Amino acid sequence: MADLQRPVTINSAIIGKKGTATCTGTTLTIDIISGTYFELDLQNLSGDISTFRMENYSAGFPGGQSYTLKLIQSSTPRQFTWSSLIPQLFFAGGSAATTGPPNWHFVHIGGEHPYLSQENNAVNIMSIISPVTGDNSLRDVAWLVAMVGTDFQ
Amino acid sequence: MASLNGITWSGKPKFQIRNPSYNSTNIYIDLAVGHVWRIDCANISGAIGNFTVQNVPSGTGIVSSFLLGLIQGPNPSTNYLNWLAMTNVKWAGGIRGVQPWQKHLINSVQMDSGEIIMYSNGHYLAAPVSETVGGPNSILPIRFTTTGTLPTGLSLNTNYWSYFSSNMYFFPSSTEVTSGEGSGAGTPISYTNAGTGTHYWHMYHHEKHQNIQTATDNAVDYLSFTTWDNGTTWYGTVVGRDIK
Repeated sequence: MADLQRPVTINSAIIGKKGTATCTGTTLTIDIISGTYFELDLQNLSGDISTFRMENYSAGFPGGQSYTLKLIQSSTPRQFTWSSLIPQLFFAGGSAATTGPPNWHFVHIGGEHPYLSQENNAVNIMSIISPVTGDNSLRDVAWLVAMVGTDFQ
Repeated sequence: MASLNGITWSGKPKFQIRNPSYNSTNIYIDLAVGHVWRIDCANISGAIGNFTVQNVPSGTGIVSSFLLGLIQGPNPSTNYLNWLAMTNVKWAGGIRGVQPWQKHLINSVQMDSGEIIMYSNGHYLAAPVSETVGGPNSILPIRFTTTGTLPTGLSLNTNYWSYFSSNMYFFPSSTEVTSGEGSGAGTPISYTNAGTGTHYWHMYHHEKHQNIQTATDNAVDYLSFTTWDNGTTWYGTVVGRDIK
């Protein structure tokens, strides 16, 4: 991975890549090395999101990385079950990452759980920042979640 | 164009600030030459109602963004960017200082003089919030959600207002409340039942319905714009207002 150690001047648009993301049942899954922007239609869910899978975790996983989720509300409104939701990381190949401490968790601004707008097809945008990892040992366990905005019109 | 599949910035990224071109009806942002933009509204004339972003990167599976700084001019009521008219820009619900996604529990729904009264401890509806666009004294709308069925007379995905409240309860109105009496005093909703399940209310308002920009001369506001569809729709968010 490129490491730009000197100042860089950027004179045009910054483009991010949409990654692979799915939601089925009550599970939301993102491929964390496929991009930093993820777009999901919650219509495919059968209930509120109780499992948050992040796949293709690797030893080179960069810490403090920001992910942006664009979530389109379904006709039956869905929410995250933040009170019990934990980040679940999986290595490429599907085995669960066990290097992280058992107390991975999501944290929210002011401790308030973000709430998705309930209107059908409402656009909700959320930002998630991963804990800072250095040598693949965790220095922090909190995944920061902030709502960018709900119900864009 | 460089494509970096993962990047660590140990150094400091710098952005040249560009000035958009504009005329009386359009503002032009050219993404071929800049990521950070700034406009001094002292130099614009009238209400600019078109937001044109040029040279938007196009391709499958990409997201583009830019920043726009706004410096307020001396005549914000006549010379301004008319976000209401810019239909290609979508804004989040909610207002500054109020988390729109935060749902508030309605502890109980009861009848008072034949009308619905809702008890919701510690709600924000006691103090009307004024807005520049939409009526100087109008109260922001709210909407209801429920785990069951709303009380008869209330519907999902519908705006309501509060026409009378304390910090413990409020009376919902089906019409906007613009004054304490007369035609703008609101329309009470007759009580039939309390519905079923647990009911919630949340703020329902959009950034573009109020002044996105701080109205003070020389105030600095920064906005962020992101497109997920190669420039057809831009999602606007306020990075910060009245930065000083």
